[in-house]
Amino acid sequence: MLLFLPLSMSCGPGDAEVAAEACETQSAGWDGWGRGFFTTWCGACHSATTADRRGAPVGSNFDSWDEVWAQRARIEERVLVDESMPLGGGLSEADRAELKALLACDDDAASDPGDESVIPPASLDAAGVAARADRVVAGGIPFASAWFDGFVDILMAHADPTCPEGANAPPYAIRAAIEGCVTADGWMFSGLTLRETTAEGTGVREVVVGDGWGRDPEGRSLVFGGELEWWGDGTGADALWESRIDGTWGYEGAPGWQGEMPSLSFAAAGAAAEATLDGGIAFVGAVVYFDALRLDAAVCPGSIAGGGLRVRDDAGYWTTLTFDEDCSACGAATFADGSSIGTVCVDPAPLWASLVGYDP
Amino acid sequence: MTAWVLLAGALGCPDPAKIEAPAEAAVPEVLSPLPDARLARRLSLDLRGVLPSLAELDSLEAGQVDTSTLRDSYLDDPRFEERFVQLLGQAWRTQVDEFLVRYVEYPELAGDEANEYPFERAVGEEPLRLAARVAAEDLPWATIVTGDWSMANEVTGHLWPVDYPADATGWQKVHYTDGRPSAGILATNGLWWRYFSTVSNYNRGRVAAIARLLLCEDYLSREVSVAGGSSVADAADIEDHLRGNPYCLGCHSSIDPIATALFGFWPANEYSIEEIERYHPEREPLGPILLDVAPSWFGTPFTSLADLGPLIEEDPRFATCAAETMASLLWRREATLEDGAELADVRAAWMAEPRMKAVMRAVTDGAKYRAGGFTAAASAPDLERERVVRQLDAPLLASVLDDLTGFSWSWEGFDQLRSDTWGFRVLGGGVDGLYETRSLDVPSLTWLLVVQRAAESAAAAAVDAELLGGGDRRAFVAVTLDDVPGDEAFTDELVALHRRLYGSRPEPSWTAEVEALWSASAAEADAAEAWRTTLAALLQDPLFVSY
Ligand code: HEC
Repeated sequence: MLLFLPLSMSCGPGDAEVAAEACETQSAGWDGWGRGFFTTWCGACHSATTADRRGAPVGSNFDSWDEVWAQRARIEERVLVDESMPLGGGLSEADRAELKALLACDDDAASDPGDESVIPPASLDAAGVAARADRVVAGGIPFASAWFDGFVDILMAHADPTCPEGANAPPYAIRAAIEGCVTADGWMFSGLTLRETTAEGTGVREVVVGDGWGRDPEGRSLVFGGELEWWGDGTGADALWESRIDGTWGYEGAPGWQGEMPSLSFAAAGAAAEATLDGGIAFVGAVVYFDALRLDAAVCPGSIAGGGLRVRDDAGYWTTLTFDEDCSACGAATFADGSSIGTVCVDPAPLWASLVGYDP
Repeated sequence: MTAWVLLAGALGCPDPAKIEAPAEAAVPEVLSPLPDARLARRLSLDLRGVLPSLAELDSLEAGQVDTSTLRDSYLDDPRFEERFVQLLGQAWRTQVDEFLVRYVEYPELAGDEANEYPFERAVGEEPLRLAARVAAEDLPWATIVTGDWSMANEVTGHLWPVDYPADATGWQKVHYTDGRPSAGILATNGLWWRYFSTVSNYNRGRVAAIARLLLCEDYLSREVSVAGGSSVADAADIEDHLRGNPYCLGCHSSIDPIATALFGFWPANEYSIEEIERYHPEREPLGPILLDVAPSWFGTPFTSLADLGPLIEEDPRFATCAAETMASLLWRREATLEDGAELADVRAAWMAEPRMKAVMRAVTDGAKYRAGGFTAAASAPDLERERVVRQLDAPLLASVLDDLTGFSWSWEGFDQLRSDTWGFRVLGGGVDGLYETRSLDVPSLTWLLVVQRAAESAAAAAVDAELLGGGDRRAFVAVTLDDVPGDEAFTDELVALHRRLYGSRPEPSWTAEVEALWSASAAEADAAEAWRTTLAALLQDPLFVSY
């Protein structure tokens, strides 16, 4: 009794013709099933284009039928015989049966359309990128403590003793019915904030978690959804500090960019004369992501010492700007597709203006 | 030779018998087709959610149209779009009764409990309405992942950042105004409210949803072996495992690079309205950073959520999945490996014309859709697998009764046959999108009770409106309360009802039985009550509730 037949000769007399025909009549050929199978189960590691092969041997790719056909014996061994691939297992019996049938086919029948991702051409030129960067930078560094102060100011001005509960005294952790409460002066509040204060080093760390909203009598929104976190070492003028704003915290009636209901995922850390900025800020019409942008008076007073930032276009593609180390606050900008946009300069003054004198 | 064939078959080699002749000819027919009028009824119910009209049945009977012509006209019927929403809802499962955010959190809605159900459907149906509009307008199906528009109605239209016309009502095409990329359903609040990501899940669950809905790859059902003794405890641990452990890598090596595309939908607090109703473009770069992988679609790099649609469109699984999804919905069962030949036909139709109506035409042309019974050649697995009878589930029943009698069952704003919080959708055999994922195909006690109450109420509504109130005729053709059994108008009405409700002409014995029922009821009360009783009974007949 035959227990094992090498694949290439397993189909009996005249198998080449038979198999070629079989591949044409078979319902699940490369296009119908095979390509999808290899993409789903193998492509993340065994593909010419994958960014991380995770150890799959170089050249062991299954992007096309030709490649699969050429390596069919090893595929059969690893997937069907000793079941050591795909890494992690998980194949169903049905998939194994399909693969077995697929590998029994001849290579003529398969076709292999390639896929390329198409990035539209850059829609912002250097000036456009600079304008958007400046628009966000003009707001200065958003400090979580300052934002919370703004929130408390609104509570102090408009909250009643019970609407929202907890609004009239520190720690200003508030609570209002989910469907909202209305104050005597016509403000409406809903939801809650939780505030946690812990000693850390010589200072304190504050974390505020918010899930709520308000409406002023004119119908303008106040939103507190997400997290604020800040810390200062409490040593005064030279204090080290950290600040983080995640979420949407804003009030449509507020002056400046807090009035634009910005959305953030932004963190900064520093001292009196230095700061590193990380993360994103979305304004109406300008979205910027800071990549470890460095302010450092000892290196580039009043300018940018290093790092970079990214600027988003309206279609969702980013241009990346890396600052030169010559304190020019300028740098080379590259679009998502790798093409150069030229040199872009940013006005760092508002960042410095907000940093000077900041004491959490 | 036999031994050779068996051996070859076991090794996955092509069976020579199948190569010599086309597969269909080699396999004896196991399914017998439905009679034309019943088929027209099935098509009309599946494609428009209503019964065929008497005029349609007349022209079919007279040979002026065939079922394919009727089917094509159903695909172009204005009711097709609504029906498509309900049909696809069973696969996409977004018509749920609960989201992380409740209607009371909107001051615009909080005051009135009757806002709850419309709010929930306005949210959950967004991706379905988008898909249904694509199907109804016969646009390329890939528009569902590449389009720059979505759908909103008067509820979400005024709450969400979309350009819903100020004076409009009902579902309208809209554009989001918060800077989200063009990616069809992949850029809708509705899809991502249903398939939400917690802060620590990093959108991975959403990728599993993309894979299931659009590629028919079910990551959650993979038989993954977790290596013995590895305990996956806290979040940091999990992150380590996903990157280092081969058993996790198998799925996560493909999931994580896709999840990077969705960080504009990643909330800082998943319970905050503002956080989940708005897109957050500034978080897009966080994906590759937090997940520590480069964005890629199964190995093909991309840079933006806007790239995902075209990559999905080119992925051959998208075509296969469109065919498989629609076949499963219309066959009312999972497609399996044994369906390969029919699915290949459907897929071929797609290749010629990558649009949903082409797929639906191909499925409804097939023997599996048209089956009304089994032949003697059917084996036990055939009997087990094929569905030759379908059952009206609560949402379809609602749509049929509404069309037939004007009756719609609502309580405190909740559509009783299309929701579960206060309604009977699941009890009536429907899909709730969370626990029930396939509509019921055998009668259950609760289904019978739902059918009974709905039939009684619908019958009463029809009699009150048409026979007592003199309103437009819908369920009844010409009968009046003065007609009695034996009158021509009475007999004609019974024939018409039989044809309209069941798709066929009655036997004399049936007519006699119904007349007897009517007369017994009339003797106890009056003609109106007799018609209520009679119509309620007809609406509970197996011929009516199955199709
Ligand atoms: C998570 C990453 C990963 C996935 C997914 C994966 N592999 Fe692998 N594969 C590897 C690694 C790592 C190796 C090298 C180590 C080894 O041979 O076990 C490898 C080796 C192989 C080899 C041997 C290559 C040679 O030339 O010796 C074959 C064949 C193979 N894989 C097939 C597959 C197939 C088929 C699939 C999909 C069904 C798959 N693999 C999925 C990571 C992966």
